[in-house]
Amino acid sequence: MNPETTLITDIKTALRMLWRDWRGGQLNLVFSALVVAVAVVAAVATLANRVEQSLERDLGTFIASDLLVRSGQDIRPELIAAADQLQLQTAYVTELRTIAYAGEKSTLIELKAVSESYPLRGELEIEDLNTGEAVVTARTPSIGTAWIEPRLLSLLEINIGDLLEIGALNLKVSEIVRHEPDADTGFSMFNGHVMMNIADLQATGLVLPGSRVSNRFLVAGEKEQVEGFQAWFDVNGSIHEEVRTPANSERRLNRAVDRGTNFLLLAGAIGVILASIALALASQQYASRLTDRIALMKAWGQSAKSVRTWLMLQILILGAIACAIGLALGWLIHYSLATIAAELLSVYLPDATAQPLILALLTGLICIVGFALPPLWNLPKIAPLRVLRRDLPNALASTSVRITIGIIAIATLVFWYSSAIFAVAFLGGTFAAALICGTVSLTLLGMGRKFGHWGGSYWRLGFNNLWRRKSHTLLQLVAFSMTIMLLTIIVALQTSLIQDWKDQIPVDAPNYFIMNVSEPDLDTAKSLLFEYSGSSEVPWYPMVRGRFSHVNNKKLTLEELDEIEDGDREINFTWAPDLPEGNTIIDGEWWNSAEGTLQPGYVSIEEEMATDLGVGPGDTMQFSIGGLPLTAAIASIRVVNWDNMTPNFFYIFSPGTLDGYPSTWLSGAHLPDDRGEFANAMARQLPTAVTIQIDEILNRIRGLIERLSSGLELMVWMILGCGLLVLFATIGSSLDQRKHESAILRTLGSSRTLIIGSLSVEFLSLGILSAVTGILCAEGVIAVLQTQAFELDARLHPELWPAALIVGAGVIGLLGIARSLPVVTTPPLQSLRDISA
Amino acid sequence: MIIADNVSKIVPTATGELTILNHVSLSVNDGDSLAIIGPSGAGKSTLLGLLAGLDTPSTGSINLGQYCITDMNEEQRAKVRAEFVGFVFQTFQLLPGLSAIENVSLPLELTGRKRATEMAKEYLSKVGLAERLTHYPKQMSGGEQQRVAIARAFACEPKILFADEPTGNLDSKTGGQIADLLFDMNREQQTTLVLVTHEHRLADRCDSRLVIDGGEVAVDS
Repeated sequence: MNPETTLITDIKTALRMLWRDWRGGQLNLVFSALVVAVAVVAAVATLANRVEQSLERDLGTFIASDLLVRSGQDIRPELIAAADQLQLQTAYVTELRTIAYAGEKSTLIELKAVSESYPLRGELEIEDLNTGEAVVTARTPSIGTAWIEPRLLSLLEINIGDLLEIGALNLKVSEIVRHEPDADTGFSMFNGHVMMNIADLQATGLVLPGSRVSNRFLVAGEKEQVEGFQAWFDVNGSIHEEVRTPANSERRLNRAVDRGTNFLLLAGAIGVILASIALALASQQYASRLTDRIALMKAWGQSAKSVRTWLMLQILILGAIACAIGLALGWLIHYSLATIAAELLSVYLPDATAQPLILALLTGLICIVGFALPPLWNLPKIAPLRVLRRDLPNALASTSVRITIGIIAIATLVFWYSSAIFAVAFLGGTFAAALICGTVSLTLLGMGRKFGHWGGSYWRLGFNNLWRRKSHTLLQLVAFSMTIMLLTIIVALQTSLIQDWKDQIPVDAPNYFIMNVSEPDLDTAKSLLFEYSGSSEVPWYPMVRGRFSHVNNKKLTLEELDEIEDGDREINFTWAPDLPEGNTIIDGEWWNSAEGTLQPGYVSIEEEMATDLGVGPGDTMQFSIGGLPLTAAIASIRVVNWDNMTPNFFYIFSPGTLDGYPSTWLSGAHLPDDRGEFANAMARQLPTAVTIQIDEILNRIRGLIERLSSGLELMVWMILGCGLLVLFATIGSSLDQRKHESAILRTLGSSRTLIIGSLSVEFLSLGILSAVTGILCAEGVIAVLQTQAFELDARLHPELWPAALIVGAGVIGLLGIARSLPVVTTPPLQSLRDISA
Repeated sequence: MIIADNVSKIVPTATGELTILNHVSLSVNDGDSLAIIGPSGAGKSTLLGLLAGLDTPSTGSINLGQYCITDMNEEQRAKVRAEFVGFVFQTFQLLPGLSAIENVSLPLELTGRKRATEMAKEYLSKVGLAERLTHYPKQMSGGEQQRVAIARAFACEPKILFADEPTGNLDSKTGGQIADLLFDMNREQQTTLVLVTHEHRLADRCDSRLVIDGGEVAVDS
């Protein structure tokens, strides 16, 4: 063996060894774990990047202007004059929520009426009707036309050229909007959007005194001009007006985007952690298989340096191929997630930048360095004498060293994916969840082992196997129980929780809300409602829009208003002579409960609002309605049953207090077996009223939750896949030992049936234990969601248990048995020979 | 030529130092064969390991050809092994994931030898396994595996071949066949052969024998 080894020889050795080990199946798990880790990060990072880009694309133009003034009232002439004086460009936008009709179909929409100069900043994109591509347009909807967003085409079953009824007006659908620079990211993004010319708005009849509208006055110009306008507004702005700039919009958006991105990446981190654990186990197994080979090669004269070179090259080449495949797979997975996200957000997602690619590749590198390399690192130090003395140390890194490096790698990944606080919370939460799942699992395992003694030999052997390999068993139980817990929670969100909430709604709760009914139309509305409901007892509520400004003559600051719920926007006021159903006085008195108290100037406040404001009976509050001040004394504090599905109000005034202020009327009614006829009748006779079918909203919410949770479900199935990698890795690491045990048992006379039986007990028990633990923990989390988030009574969900047990026993159990079959298919003599060799 | 001069191997244990080899000296001329024989635990494999440069003695010196390997570090000894030494083991030490031809060609590939595969084929034919080139160790009997191991050892054309109980895992008939093969190829290549065995029949076929008992030379003939 004369020729000196060179780098070229080492590279050839690395490639040969890589191919041969791959062919022999020794690198399957290492490779798969790397692919999965990179794929998970690539999928979520690419999605997060595209969503972030979509929302940030027009960050500087997110408000379609340099500054806008938002108000629930008409735009004051003073604002317009100030802008004109500063020679600013201006535009007007009015937004409101209403119902759009197309034949028999109707849906709740966000209507946006714009002036011709809109947008002042950013670009409006519509769909090229020939190519389907998004193109920038300088036009806005002309008079008599409506531009709609794509999902309304299917919701309303309409096409370009069809008519859309909005209020009292029919508009021709002429364009499909693909992108608005100032598209909202709030709840309104879940409704369909329609854009129209602001000159048509009055003809719709939708904007009545007291209607709930948002008027925006947009300005743009040179920096000094805009700052001049801001300075003027700071002195002359009204309490009903709010200024928005790109800076304060950007802060809000960045917070939302950061939180969303952090959540997505941390969700992916769970999968990466599991894949990394599988990688570490598989690498350890691979390393232990290399010890004899490397000792032999060193005996032949290979230097430690050469061994290290080809070993590292082998892992790097494998890692590079795995990363490339992981990126491709991650892109495919992200595509499914992106389709859901684009539909949810109703946005066009631009192509990703290189950032997610880099993040995924670096994740792969950290996984290689943190999990694949440590078991292999000391192999070059193996003594060549090991070819004669198998009892010599195998130079594998100690478990504590590997675990320490692994924890550092995981912490690096998690901190890198998110902010420090998020990362700490995530790691802490994951650890806590793992601890709980592990404790429950171990308890159940102990019980199973105890009861297993009473069973036959299959049970004894099976449970003893689980108990003897406790560390592996615990790892598998924690991984799978957490995954099944997540899956169960998601399925509960999709099905049971919404249904539970619906079930607790009274049977005769209103299934219709009628809003924006003007005073002159009130009798017609009442007649129609009587005609379709058969009841004249349906209450109608007057509604006036305003906001509060002072407490006990002290003006509330902007910061104080920000702290209070709804403190910074217009809210709904009403008046009533009698205490409405679903309201209970807890402090003070209602105004008709004593003689002489049914007079103007009093207000009753909802309990939580009163607590936020720090007020009680006897205090006074000042309000602003249409710019006009109103002072009222607090007569009582109420608890409101918000779940009764009837109109409820934070502020109820005594009759006469709101006289002279513009108001509309609203009601809620239960119309059984209606099939939408009442809504159609209202649309024909009172087109300016807004008639909302509650079932449609609930179905929309349910659809939204289903789409959200299907995206989450996809993530959790990926995590389950990572968990299966852990299963295969732990089985693989114990396979030689299992074969040895099986060989001895069979040599001593045990049948193959006994071995298969004990394997079946072992893995089915593992799957069932994981499922039971997952179910128990999921029920705990769901109980918290039920009581805290949905304010329902906690209940168990046995309808979810079979699916969890099927996943546990079926997927985990059967795959575990399948992976372990070499234990019985390998002839005992071969196993014994392999071990003695 | 192999020269071991006053070689001792002492190892620390929990109960004190343990002398595995005590002042062992030997010499083997080029092309000759030496059998190291003795009861189990006598120190035979330890001596083999020292002579092959796989380990270093506590005292004494060992020369392989012109190299004093006891003065070398592991990297230097590895180069000497790469140049001079081949091995045949009791447990064959074939790599289970490699076919017969791959097992034989591996040490040639590691040193960058050209025509590694052709040479591997050639040597497998010499040992009578021309039809089993692509078979894996688990598809072969013990005797066939040891033939592959012998082919692997001789394919590298070593100057010195160290064999540790080459027939230890084989039945007597197969063992006899393997011994015949080993000595035939040894004669053909004029390799110096150092053989550890507890079988006297095998030892009798060597030019000289060294009996080790309790770590010391009992008989040197």
